[in-house]
Amino acid sequence: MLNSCVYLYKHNSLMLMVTISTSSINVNHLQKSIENLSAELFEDFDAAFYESVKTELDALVRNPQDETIDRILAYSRAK
Amino acid sequence: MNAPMKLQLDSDQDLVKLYLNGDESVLEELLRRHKSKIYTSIYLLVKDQQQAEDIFQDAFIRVINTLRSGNYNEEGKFLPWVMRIAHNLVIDHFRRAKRAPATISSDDNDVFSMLQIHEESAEDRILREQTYSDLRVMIQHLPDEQKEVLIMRHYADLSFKEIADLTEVSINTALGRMRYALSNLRKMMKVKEVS
Repeated sequence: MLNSCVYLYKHNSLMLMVTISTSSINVNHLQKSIENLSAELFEDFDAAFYESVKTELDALVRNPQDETIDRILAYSRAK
Repeated sequence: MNAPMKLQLDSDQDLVKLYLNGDESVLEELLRRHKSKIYTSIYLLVKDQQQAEDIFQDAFIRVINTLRSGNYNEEGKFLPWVMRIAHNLVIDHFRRAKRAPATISSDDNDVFSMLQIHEESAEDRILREQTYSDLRVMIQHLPDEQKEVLIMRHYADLSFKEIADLTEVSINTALGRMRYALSNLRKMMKVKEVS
């Protein structure tokens, strides 16, 4: 059995149509293809800016308090 | 928190199996591995440290309860599963509080009017944290759907497929929201530079 999926993307004012066909046993591969395609298109559009702000975004990373972690571990041990 | 060295090489799936077999130290390793991603995502959504601590704790209590009850069936996708639990708790939090976090439904909103509010209160910020504080505020000013995708992609390290599943939209929509988020951040930064 053959499955076909059509995806539309806008790129520099052009509409791109991508068709992916695969047998149903290759659904995982199709999923991976979509993900890769999405990632590639994302990179094409915005990677440079994303890269430029990653450091600043990383600086916003926070961690929960140790007390919160201790309470979770204590709950797990008591459960 | 020092999980045994050998555990650091195991996959999440292996760790979950060990935990289900009674190895308590495994939970420490899972927390060590994912706490920043999960906590930062929660914190940036609820914007309150205490609320974020509570939601983070509740999420892991649900994780523990689900694992112990034998209902875990995520086939190795531990982080997206925990993120889904945390995401639902964040939604519950806003429902209970009945205060939507600056809800704007469209993906393509003009951010300049919102930036005005941000500009007026900028003087109150501590100088050495100015850049990061500004960025945090800019992220908060993003429409919810865009903020959510940006946070899940960057901080929770989820794939677009996982984000799409979690937020119940197509991959294209998740991808588009990420693009709008970056585009809006870029606009806000430009305005900030000009001013």
